[in-house]
Amino acid sequence: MITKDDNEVVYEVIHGNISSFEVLIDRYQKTILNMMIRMVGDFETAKDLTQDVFVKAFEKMGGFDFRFRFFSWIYRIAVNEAINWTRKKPMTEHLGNVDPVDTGGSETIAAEAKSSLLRRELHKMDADYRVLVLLKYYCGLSYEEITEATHIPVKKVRSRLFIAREQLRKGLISNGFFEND
Amino acid sequence: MDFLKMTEKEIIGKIYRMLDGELTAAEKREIEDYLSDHPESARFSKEWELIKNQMNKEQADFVDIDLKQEILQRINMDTYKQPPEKAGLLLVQSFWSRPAVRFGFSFVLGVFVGIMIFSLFKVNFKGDDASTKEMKGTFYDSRSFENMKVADVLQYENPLAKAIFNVRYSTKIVEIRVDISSNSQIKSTIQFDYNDFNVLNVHNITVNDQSSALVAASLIQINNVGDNKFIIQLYNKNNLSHNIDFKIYQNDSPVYHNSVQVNK
Repeated sequence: MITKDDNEVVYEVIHGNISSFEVLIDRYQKTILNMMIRMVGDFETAKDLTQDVFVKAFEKMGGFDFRFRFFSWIYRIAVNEAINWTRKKPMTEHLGNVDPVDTGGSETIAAEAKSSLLRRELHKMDADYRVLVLLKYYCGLSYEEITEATHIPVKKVRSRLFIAREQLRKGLISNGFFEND
Repeated sequence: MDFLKMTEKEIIGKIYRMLDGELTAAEKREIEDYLSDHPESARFSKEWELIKNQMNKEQADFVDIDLKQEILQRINMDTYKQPPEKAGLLLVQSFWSRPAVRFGFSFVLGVFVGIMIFSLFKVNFKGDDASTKEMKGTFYDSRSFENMKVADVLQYENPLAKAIFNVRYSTKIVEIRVDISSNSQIKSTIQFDYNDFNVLNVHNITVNDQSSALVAASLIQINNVGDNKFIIQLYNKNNLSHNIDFKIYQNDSPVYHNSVQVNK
């Protein structure tokens, strides 16, 4: 069976087969929800924002430009939703305290602590930088795809990601992320 | 790569690109050689690799819950208002709503009918029988395609598929005659900027049940099996020179891409 590509599904939705929208929800809800969790740091808020993204996508679908790919369009909506939300509500409100990496504990605890530390350092970043790291390393987009999703030129994406990665690495070093490695 | 001439930032950039899998095998070897002689850079590389590994682990732990029902409830499909259709009929309607266009069309139609009547009389004056050659063609053949300027004739052929896109244009109209054949399902797209063109018509000249043409604001997609012919007409909104992209996909992989300029 030939799987319909996203733009074909969008075409069907626009032309009245609105139940096809479920296909798009199935394809993108997991990635967008998890990107949102890492953007806003709170599961319930991330869930609400993810729903907002799909509702907006559905409402705006009539204006979808078929020159672009659907994923970049919906990621753009998601990025805007997340950045708007973080501008209204600073991230730190939703983060619990994360202890520095416990190098003396069991491996699971150490792994959990590292994971928390990584999340915390990500959340410390400016939202504009954080979103680029998430699109690159959590959503798996290439530089060109990030450009398509954010409308930021490739050169700028590269330079901002460079700064973001350095910030992240230095923050992790100062919290002992690499000790014992 | 001459690392001596590179700044620290450039070297770090290369290391990032290596870890993101963006370097060729040869470039990667060069960086690895460099790292073996530069422990500081090697440590940096190791650190970022650990961060990436941690991110990959997090991806494996992605929350996987189904929000579909909640989203659909919020959308409330019963009250859903169909978004305005951008291509095809609606655009043709708005095109027709302009008095100047209607007058212009009536005038052209009048001239056309006049020429037709004159041609018929002319044949009779000569006393010749109307040969089948003179009577050839369908409604589409009788249009002004032959008098339009040739933009290009694109041809693609492989053992499984064959396509010809004959593109001609006048100041306002672009006409594309598509002759496409394939043993299995292939997809062809004709893309343009919706700020420059409206889709006026997509005529299925000879199209079987398994094939179809989908129309959107800036795209016409032909899903093809077998031998089919289409005539596509676009309306050039601003009379300027524009490009139209032609692509063919087999098994969703692009096998052909070309571009044609109209109103050169």
